[in-house]
Amino acid sequence: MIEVRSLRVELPGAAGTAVDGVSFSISPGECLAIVGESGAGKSMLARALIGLTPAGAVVAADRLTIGGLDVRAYGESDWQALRGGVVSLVSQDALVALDPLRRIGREIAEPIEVHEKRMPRAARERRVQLLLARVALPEPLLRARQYPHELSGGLRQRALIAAALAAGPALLIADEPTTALDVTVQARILRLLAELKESGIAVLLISHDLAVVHSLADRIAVMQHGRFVEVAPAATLLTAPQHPYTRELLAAAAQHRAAVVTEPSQAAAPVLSAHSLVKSYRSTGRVVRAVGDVSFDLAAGGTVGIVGESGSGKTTVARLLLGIERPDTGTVRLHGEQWSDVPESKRRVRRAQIQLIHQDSLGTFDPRHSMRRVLAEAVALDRSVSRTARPGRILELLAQVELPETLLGRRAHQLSGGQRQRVAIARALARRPSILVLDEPVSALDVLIQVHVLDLLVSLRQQLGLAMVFISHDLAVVRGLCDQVLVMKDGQVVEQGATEALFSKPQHPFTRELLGAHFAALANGH
Amino acid sequence: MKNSGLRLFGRLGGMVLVVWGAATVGFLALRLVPGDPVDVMLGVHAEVSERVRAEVRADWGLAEPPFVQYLAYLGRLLRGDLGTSYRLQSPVGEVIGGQLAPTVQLMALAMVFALLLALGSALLARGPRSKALLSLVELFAVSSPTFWTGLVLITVFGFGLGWFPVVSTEGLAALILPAVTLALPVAGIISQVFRQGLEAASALPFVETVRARGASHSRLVLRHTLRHAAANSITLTGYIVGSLLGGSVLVETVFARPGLGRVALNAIINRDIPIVLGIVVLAAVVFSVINLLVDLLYDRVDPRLMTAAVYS
Amino acid sequence: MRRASALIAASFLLLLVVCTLAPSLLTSADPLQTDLAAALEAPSLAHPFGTDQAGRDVFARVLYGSRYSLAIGFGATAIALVVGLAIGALAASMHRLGDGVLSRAIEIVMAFPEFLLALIVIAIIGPGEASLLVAVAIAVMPAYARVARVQTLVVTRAGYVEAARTLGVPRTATLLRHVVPNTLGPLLSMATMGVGTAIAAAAGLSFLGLGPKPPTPEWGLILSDGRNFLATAWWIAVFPGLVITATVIATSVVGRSLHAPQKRRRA
Repeated sequence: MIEVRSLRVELPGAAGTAVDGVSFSISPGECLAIVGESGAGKSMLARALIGLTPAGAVVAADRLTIGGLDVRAYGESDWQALRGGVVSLVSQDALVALDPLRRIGREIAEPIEVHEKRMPRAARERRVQLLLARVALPEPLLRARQYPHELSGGLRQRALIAAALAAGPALLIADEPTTALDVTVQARILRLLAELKESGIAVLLISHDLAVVHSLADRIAVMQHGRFVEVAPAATLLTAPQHPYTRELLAAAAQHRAAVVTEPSQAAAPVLSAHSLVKSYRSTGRVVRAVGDVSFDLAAGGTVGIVGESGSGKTTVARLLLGIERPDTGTVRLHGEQWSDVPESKRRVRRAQIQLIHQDSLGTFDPRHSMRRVLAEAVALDRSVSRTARPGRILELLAQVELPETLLGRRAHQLSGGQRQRVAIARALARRPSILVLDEPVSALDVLIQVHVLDLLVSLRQQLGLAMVFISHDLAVVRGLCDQVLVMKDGQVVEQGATEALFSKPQHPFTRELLGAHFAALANGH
Repeated sequence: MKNSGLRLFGRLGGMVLVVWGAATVGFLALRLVPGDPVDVMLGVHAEVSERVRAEVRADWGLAEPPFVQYLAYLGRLLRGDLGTSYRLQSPVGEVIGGQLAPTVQLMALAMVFALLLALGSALLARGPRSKALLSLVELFAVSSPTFWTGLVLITVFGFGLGWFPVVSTEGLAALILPAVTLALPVAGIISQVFRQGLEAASALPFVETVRARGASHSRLVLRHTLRHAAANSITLTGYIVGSLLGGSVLVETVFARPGLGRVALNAIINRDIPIVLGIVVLAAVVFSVINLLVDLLYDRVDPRLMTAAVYS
Repeated sequence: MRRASALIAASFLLLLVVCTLAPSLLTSADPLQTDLAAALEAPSLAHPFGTDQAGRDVFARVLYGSRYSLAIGFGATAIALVVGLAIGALAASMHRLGDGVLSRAIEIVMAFPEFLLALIVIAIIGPGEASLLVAVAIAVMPAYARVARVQTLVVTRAGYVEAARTLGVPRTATLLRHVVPNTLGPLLSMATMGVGTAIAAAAGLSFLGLGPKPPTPEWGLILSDGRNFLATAWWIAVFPGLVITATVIATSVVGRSLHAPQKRRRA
């Protein structure tokens, strides 16, 4: 279906070589997955196969045939005939990948209008209905009249796939097609893609996530710095990886950290305890219960995990624990003393005790301040550090989070995601807290960086005897770090208990679905 | 659809609020002006008989307490009675109504010119060079004061080239230069906003999807990004009508044309307060009607606003 | 390229400030000195911008005129900025009802275009130089109030303000270190661009005869003089207009360049 030999993509300016001599082929009904971290050149490779590289980029190859056509010398109008009809693209987030001002039906009809101009309107609309049925969108007549924002993430992604299929392509390029979705929805989209593959379409799947790739791919290519470091049948690559980078990625995906769960001291009083927390919001006239009845005790040195999909109320719990918001009913006690029901002035003097790390800390840094100022502000609040000792304390904190001094002059937007999370951790540590609340602290990072930041958190927990509340959608991470887990759905805790007991014998169907979606893939692989 | 009915109702309420607010501020401002209200109403250098002064007192109920005067004033407005210009000896409604036509003609033609100029140039300028040139022209058009542009146009096309009449204010030929003058800054603004809208829209992620379907550039612009840019520009409508109305005061003065702008200017110079108040109320009605239409149109163009609760 | 144009624009504004403080440095002519023998002379070395109907040097009149225009432009903008900021910040810090009332009031005033608003204010308080300043200030103020309100709301809800709170930074320190600088930035660049708008509006009002009285060398007034001699002496009207246009362009170029780094920082 597609044959590529020594494909190179050169970007203009400092970006340089994005794809550096890549060769592969995909047959009809086959799926090749390309896995790698951001910046590996995956997306640029995909764009080169559909003629959508950015202006100024140079694409060269010894051989580049799509559906038997040599596309190396193609101009824009040649590509237009090919796109949609022979090769199609499904990208990450359908909310932005579909035109927000047009109805779903119009979007799906567009490739037909472009490639089959003479098809009568009625036939075209029938085709749209068939496509909606093919991607299993319920109530197709209604969906065709809706706008993208009116559909849930999973249904939107199905609509995007339907539009990609509309003009009957032979090759589907799916660039991170499930990344923006919750795990249970991810699994369903992957099943749909598998059905399409069965029907004879060639699929090029691009992902950073080995767990996603595994259930669909026949072969997997691992990409690093613009090159394929390893290409192998899926089962072989997952069980017997050859290249060290592949092994590193696999280890990161599996999150082997069962050993790092610490035993909290059961005897001592809990450092943080939440009792029957309830919080509702008023939104467009309706009252939405964001958190309903959450209770737990966090022992000194212990780690509580809170797991759930987006919108399950996890972040609201974090804000209640921090005293940024007050619960409607219920209480939070910090070191045995009332925390949620005291005035802010009383809370401020005790805030050093409990600190927060966000998913993306970019917004938590003043855009005008350098990292030196950011850390200095936090250090200055620590009375035990004299004015003259402050610069030394800043360096000490930097060393703790393993960052070089050179970063101090930069502003937040000049740092990488991983560096930002480390500075955020250093800022929190400046206050010498006994508790860290971590709200999806590594979710915005690449897998390998995730591992490094998690390793750092584990070692800090041991060194400083921190207690943690760890909020995440990623079950593997939670399992490896926490001694106690709460599973949340729609604001309610559906299941709660000791980590190993909960993972080995999940009681609630939602927990089972969550576990199933997440571990089915990797369990097969190992 | 019950929801959209409610929203319409809310907006109508907002519209009434704007008109009421403008009328009230006008009334208050009048009472805050130092001096005898009768003199204020009569304007500067008005030497009139005691009979007319009595008439003013009776019309405005000046013997009554201020709140009663206010209610009576609102009552008259509700009946569509804008009061009397004692200076011109005729009802305000008639004075304004009589001069409405030339100004509306001028504004309408200017609007057409502005839209043609703006959309044409924004769509035609595609290369980086032509875009840079266009943005320079836009900056110049937006920055030149209307009254100066008008004078320059008269000098060049009236006196210099003799293409357009300088003295006459009758007929279409006499309308062109004033309309162009009025249109230029507005065209500059629309062009800027529209072009930025097009550029912003073509940087959105969905553009790649559309191109990946094999759509041509013209299809991409006509079916997709144009609509985004238009949605962006619609919000300008109120501002545009406003600046056309404000600009007409200057343009009518520069070109010595009759119209609402001249009426307003004369009323201001002579402090003919009833006419000023009348124009304020009229302007408030015009703007709130336009803003209402813009809101409704915007909902049609951008469906996200209908369902999503956008609250800043 | 961007930097170069911002530099040119800034130097032009600096030149105007020099004109305002010491116009005699740049011209020896007296802006009020009439000389009927030299009336309506075309631009020459002696009179770079020509002379007007009373033989006054137009170049000198334009230079001396910058005093009025800049005073009104900067003065009105400063008043509008300070009062607008106060109103906007007040609205943002009030509860729902108070904020609602104030924002609605701002919206009502904003329904009127700036120039019309200035005209209405003059209609109420009467024409004159001081009225011009007040009228322009009131006319442009609602825009500042609105931006100040939104900006205050955005900044007080920003992640870094919340981060300061969870860190335990005292309220006043948060306000001074984070809220005020981040609120003020966009307003200051808006004000820079606003100076040009205010100058043009003031010139327009005096062109209509609502500002200072002739023979004051004010830009709008000079243009108004020139209006009567378009056929014979185009220079009277053209040069002051060019200077107004250049001033407006300069302030908007400088204002944009002030705004750009902040946008980049946020990106």
